Amino acid sequence: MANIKLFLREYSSYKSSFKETSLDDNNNIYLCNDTSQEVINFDKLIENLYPNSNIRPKSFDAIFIYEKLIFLVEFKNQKPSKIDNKEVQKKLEDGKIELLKLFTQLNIQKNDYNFIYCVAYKECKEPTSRYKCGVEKGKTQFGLEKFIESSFVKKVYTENVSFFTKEFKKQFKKELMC
Amino acid sequence: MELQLKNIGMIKEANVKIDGLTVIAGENDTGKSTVGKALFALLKARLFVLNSKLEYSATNSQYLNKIEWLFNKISKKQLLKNNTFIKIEDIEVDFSKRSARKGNRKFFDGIFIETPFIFNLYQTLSGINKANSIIDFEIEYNYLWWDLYIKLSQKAKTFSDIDFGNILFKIENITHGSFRKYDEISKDKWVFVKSSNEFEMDNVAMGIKQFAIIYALIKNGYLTKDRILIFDEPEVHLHPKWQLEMAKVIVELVKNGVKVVVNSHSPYMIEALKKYAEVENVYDKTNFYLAEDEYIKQLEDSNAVTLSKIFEKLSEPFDIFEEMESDSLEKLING
Repeated sequence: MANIKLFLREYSSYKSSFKETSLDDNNNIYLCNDTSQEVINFDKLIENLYPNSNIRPKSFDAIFIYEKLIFLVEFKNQKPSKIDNKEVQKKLEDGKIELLKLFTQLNIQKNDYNFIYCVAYKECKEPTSRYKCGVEKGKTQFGLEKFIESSFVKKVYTENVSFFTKEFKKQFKKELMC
Repeated sequence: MELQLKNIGMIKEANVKIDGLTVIAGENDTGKSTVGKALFALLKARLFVLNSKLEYSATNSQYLNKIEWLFNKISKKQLLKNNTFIKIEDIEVDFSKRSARKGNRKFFDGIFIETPFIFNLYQTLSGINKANSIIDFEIEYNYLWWDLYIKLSQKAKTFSDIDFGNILFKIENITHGSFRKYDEISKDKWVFVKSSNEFEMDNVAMGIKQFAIIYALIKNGYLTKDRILIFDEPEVHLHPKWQLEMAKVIVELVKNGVKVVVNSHSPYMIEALKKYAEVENVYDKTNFYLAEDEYIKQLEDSNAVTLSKIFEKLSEPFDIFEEMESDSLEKLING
């Protein structure tokens, strides 16, 4: 039985950064400017697997792997109230199915890993926006809760980028330059 | 006009403008209700003295005694101190000098709304009212509730100088009903009328009761330009949507000339008051304050700066949620 290292080797051409994977094409804005941490550009990988956009499944932006934890990361350059629940759900659903297909091809046992979906959204800077974002967060969060209940993923985090940056430092002792 | 307070309850100093809408925000137990209570006691005690038959010059100590008596009736906490100072316009009490000035305004009064539960206390307060007129025995009661009960149950001696038809209509639209005096046994009672059915006020939702207080005060003629309405946490028992509706009603009162002091710790209420005050062109008469560290402050004399700080404080609970998320992440990573 192979492990996740094989996946990383096999798809090493998709190695990327949080900066590249957090680009909002429409507005040409990076949600995170970090280039030090290696991730897999999953959108690009799916794009290449499915050149025909009409049949291309939805996908999350990046994969970050830490030991037995696989973080599926979706960046949204939007406030929580503007995030389309259906869209972030579909990205998780399709994206994880595609990822598991790749695991199967490489003979990687999915049950050896825990999948965590992270939706990282735009900062709510203004004090008046902060409480709104805090309340609105529930909308996205609980729209995704069903994926935890059905064990599709182990956990879901919908937070702003600075939360993830702070947590990265706290949990992995590494500073992300977002 | 400006209300000045020194050394009262936990407040060391407060200078609060009451020009139209005054909003004091802060956490629990920061003294924001004390401002309204002090103002209420000052005005109410003065009315007691003015309405008494005592000589004007001989009543200064009566005024101080009445304020002390009222503070005991309003709050069991020892709010008054030896050096408490309260002043609004030409009305002033200084306990360090044991001096008092009653000022010249005739019907200057305060209305304090503390809780919609007032309608559940109706029977008790009505009983006290009857007992007081029969027996020579003082029954203990909270004066804030008592004063509001009187204003809800009896018509004011003078008519209001404002036409509030629009606000009554608004409240009827919000509550999908109306309120009327119950005219069978106790003529002082109110009922809620919805789809031709009458409901006793004890049995209606607390949110409905909150709007009913404003409705009844208008109907009884108590909301005037010479009375200050002190509304303690108007958001209580209201869903955020109705908090916005209540804010609209409050701003409408201000637009019609009523001076309102609001205490709040609801971001919905505070933002709605700000936004509706702008829409209704009364923002220039609106002042926001933060109750914090023994002071009631307007930061840098600016509503914008004060509001920013208020919302920063109101958002702090989300930091706790984030900490909880952080803990769960740590568990996942470290097993």
